[in-house]
Amino acid sequence: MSGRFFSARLFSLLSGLGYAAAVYCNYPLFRYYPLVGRFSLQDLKDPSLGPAMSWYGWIAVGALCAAVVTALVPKRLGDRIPATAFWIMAILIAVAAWHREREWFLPVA
Amino acid sequence: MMPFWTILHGILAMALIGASTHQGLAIWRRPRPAGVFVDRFRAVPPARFANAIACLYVVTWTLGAFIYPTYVLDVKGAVADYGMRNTVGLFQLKEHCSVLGLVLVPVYLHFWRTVPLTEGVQARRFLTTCMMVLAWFSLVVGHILNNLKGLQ
Repeated sequence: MSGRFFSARLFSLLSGLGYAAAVYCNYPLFRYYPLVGRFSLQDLKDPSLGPAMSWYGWIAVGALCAAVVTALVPKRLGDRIPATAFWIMAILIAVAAWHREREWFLPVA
Repeated sequence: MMPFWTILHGILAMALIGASTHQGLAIWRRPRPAGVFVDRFRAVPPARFANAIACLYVVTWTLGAFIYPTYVLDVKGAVADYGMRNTVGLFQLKEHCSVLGLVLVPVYLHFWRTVPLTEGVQARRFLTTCMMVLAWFSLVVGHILNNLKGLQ
């Protein structure tokens, strides 16, 4: 985990940015329908299937992007990422989360 | 079986809170003899907590992700129907915060295990404080929601 073969800095940064982008754009890799225990690559929009969960799909987007890029980029380059980047990544996740969930805090019309 | 996993999730979260608070407060402490209780609480070698915090975070998060679908089916809709939309929103934000903590785990371990302790002090402080605050936020919000309507 401390990154002998891959850059932990790059993996953390990209998985966070990938997750933030997926949440902001509402682009999950897949959706899970817990009522019927079914995964789907598309939004099935069928009320009989119950609520759709995008959370796992958003995480998968971030993890997949990070894994692919981190495997390709040399570790010495990834380890040059400054610590400031993690502040920015944390802020971007907060912005994306607020963008996605703000409706819960607004009065119902 | 879900109450068992939920309680285990809560117990592990308590252990995580203890470890991350020790480390989070210790890393901001200036070296000096520990006099009062608060000083003694903070006078621990923070590097020793890193592995435990990373493991506890990943295991607690995994358990939370496992019980999450049951929450969506049994709790979320009911709490929203009670008119407590802000509470549901807080829990939704907690889920995003928990992912932030998860993606920080590799770089957190990197700064504690690979980077010499004399370097990257500010980054280590930021990451450690972040882990502590995220763990506290997640525990408090999860506890509030569990008190409103627990899993059955």
